[in-house]
Amino acid sequence: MGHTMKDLRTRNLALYLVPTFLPVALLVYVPVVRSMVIAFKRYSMFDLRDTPFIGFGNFSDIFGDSAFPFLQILGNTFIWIFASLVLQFILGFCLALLLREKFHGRGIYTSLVFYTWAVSGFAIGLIWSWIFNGQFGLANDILMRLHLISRPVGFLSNPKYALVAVIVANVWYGIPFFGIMLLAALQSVPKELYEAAKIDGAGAAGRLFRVTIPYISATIVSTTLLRMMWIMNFPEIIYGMTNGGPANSTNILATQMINKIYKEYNYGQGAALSLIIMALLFVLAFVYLSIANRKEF
Amino acid sequence: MKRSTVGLLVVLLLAPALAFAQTKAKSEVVQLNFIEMLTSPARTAFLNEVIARFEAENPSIKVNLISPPYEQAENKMTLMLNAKQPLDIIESRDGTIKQFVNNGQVANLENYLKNWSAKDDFLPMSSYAARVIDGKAYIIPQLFFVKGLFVRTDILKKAGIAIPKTVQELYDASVALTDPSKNQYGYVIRGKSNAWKVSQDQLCLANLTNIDPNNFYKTTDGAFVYDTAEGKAGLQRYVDLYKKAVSPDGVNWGFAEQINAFVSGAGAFLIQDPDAIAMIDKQLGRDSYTVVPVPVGEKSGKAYQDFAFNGLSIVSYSQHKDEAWKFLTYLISPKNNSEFCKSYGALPVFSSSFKDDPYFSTGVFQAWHTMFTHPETYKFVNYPITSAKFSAWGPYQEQYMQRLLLGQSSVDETIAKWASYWK
Repeated sequence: MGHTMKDLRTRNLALYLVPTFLPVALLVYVPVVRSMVIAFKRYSMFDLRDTPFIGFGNFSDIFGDSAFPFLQILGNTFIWIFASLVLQFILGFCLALLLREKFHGRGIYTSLVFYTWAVSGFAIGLIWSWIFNGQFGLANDILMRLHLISRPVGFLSNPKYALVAVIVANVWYGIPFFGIMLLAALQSVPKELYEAAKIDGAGAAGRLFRVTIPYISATIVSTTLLRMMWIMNFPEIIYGMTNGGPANSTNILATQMINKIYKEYNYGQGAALSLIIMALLFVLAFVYLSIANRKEF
Repeated sequence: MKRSTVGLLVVLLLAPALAFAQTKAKSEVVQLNFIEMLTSPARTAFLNEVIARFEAENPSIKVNLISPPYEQAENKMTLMLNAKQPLDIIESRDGTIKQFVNNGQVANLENYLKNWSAKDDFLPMSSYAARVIDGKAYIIPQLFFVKGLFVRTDILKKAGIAIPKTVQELYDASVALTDPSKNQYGYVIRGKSNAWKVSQDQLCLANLTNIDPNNFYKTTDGAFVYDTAEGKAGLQRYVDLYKKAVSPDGVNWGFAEQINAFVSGAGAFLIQDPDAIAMIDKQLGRDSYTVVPVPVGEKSGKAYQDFAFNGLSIVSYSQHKDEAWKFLTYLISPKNNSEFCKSYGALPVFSSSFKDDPYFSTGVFQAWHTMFTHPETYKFVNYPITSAKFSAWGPYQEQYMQRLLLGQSSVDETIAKWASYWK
């Protein structure tokens, strides 16, 4: 008798949320918690009878690994993320600006451009590994025909160029994402704002930086944040092209995690790496959103 | 009303009888779940054919073949075993069987094996492979991968160079053939993905005379093989081979790149398993290449390599071990084993395959026949696959080998790192 309508509504709401919350908890949160526990154990598929708690042992092995220097992997990761993100964004934005204009065949051209987004990252890695092949690759052939180089370059076998090569492949892959999202945002900008800006004497650059970008800033922030997280957890292209080599020069945290699990069957260290990745993503997201919310476009 | 009541009663009385009959019929048919690991379209098609024949001959046994994509198969199998999902037969390889034994996931097949007549037809290495873990039969081998030296005979003929028999001759011939301005190199290297197993150790360690047959990385005195005069010299020569006779791109070459380089003529010598034959035949044809035994050390007169193998095991928690053994021995019968290996480009496990089937004793396969029948020269040794450190060795070794080839470290530094790993 003491139940109010509000109590009943609250209880019903909780009941309605259970079918959603339960599968998410079982399929997402339980594995995450389990992974966190494994990160502090010696956990190898080689012998599951012996999985003792070892505290921070996995983390100290990762940080002290001379074969796979952690600082080099961390540096590679940051270069991989930020170079890919900046180039994908700039080129994706340019693409969106171009596709906003009407021209013959725009629909077909749009579909072809966005096709790359549907292809598996591993397949893209394999395609680009042949493009950059030091003996028969398309990249070397084109550069030699343009007389920009006189002998083939080992893009994937030279530590100086390998990271650049995998970033090029990743940029090619990621442009359509920004193209799609920013095109949708651009199409929402009212034409009246541009007309008003023209009347006020704003040129093309002025309209871009003072009308377009501020108007779609929310989309820019959300897409770049999402993309940053995806790029960090995207080892497929590197796996297909170099598998982290040569000599650790393209190894990032995600590829190292994959190798620990699938080559060494060391799930303890793999889980520890996943925790490091998660912590880094939290920090990056926090810093990024703090800057984005403070800065006026 | 009475009619409908009677009808309902009849249905109610018959239903349990029908259900019982169906259950009884089902329980007379045993379903085996068999997961393959080296999945490929040709292989799966072959397995399905054998299963169809087996089921026709054994109507009370049905075999459900699980074929995950090649890249994911091993992980899927590991997860299924860990979750105790219904499985009766698994395909495993030499590098991972120890893990399944440690975790109590595969059954000891000694009692079955001792009563199997075909075991007397096993190659000596087949009997060894079956008992490689703790001296007990946890795996029945079904194929071997053993390296041979693939040679572009057309390129050699044009250059007037003989097929090398020793590692030094291979080195000299590779250097003589190399002309970077024409994109022509001598040797086709494997730079990544188990390069140590494909050819590095073979070529580097060929001049040792005291390798422990149970541990490729130890001498019979207990020393690390690379920490010997012959091992160090062999490693230095390998680095020189890379610098003077291999495309610089080679440090990033895996299997596909190697085949491409060999077929295109960018390299004249390739050390690979017989599964490369089908691909090379398709693109090149037998007129342009041949396969010879791997080169021996010029000082030792011997060649060392491991025999990689894969085989079938029965899952420890299988409820149908007798039926599983029946299917396993059907699949690994000498006749089916030969046909299976032909479809896959591997080497069979029975002596009779090499004696009776000209496919395995003539043409390019003569190289392997020679190596199997001259054990005094071609020594098969084992990697320490039962060591807990073995699974992480590949990535570790590769890092230091790539640094060495790229000039980022020295031979002595590399050997010191490898030695510290195996301490």
